[in-house]
Amino acid sequence: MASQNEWLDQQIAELKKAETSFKLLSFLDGIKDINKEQQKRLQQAQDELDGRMWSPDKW
Amino acid sequence: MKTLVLVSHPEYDNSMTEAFLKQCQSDIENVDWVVLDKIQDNFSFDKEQEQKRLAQYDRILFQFPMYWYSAPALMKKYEDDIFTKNFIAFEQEGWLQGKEMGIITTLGDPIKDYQVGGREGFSISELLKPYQAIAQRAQMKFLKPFIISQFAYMTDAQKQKLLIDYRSYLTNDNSDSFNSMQKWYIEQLTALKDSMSADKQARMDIIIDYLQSNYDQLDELKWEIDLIKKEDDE
Repeated sequence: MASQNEWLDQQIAELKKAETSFKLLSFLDGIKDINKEQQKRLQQAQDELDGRMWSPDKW
Repeated sequence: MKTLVLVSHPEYDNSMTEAFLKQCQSDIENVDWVVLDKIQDNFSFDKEQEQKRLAQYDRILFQFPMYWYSAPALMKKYEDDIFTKNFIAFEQEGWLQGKEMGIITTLGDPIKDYQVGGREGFSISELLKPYQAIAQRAQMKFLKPFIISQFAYMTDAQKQKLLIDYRSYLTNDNSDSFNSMQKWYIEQLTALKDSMSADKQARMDIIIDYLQSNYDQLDELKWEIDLIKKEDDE
């Protein structure tokens, strides 16, 4: 997870180089927010799936 | 989807917020920006012309600074001149039926003041009831309001986020859903890519693919969870 974020930050930093458009820079930085929310929801969904699959009701 | 932003601001030409918001949306083809202060004639409006204008759009947004818990007088005058009963009421001609209405309002005070127990004591939702009532009478979908509080104090990072959220409010099918937000964001990045150099385009493609694959994984997990829930219910 941490290395994935590092990779993404690095890609974004490369894309931002020499760019001056406020709109473009905003959308590039905003990628981090979208990714953060995706990672959170992926983790939650995976945990919920595990929890439901291992429900004691089914033993 | 076509969006109309109707702006009313007595100090339009001197407003930093309006200048910023105008710039935020200036390149979007399906968004039109109309300033009531510029089209008024002796504090009144051409009814037929404005009714025809409104009929062309799917999403109609009223944008104004909050003046004493309401819109500036010219915005109200626009409503009084254009919104005839026949034009609004769904049981009559109801020209706006099925369209969306939204409010973009700017506050000089912190948003935290606008709630029970806060300094103002009333929420923005309560103060915007007259608009909600018009939307209801017209059988329009009333969107959650878009509130910009204390623009003058915003940092660059906050302004960047404002730009994205504002554009989303104008053009995203459902700004409120993360599912829709992801799809919208990927579309925006894809469009932005065209203005970049070839090597940056390749890099952007990788990021777009990455976000898309996260989206697909999330979708698949939700599908699996829904399946288990359904089995549990049976």
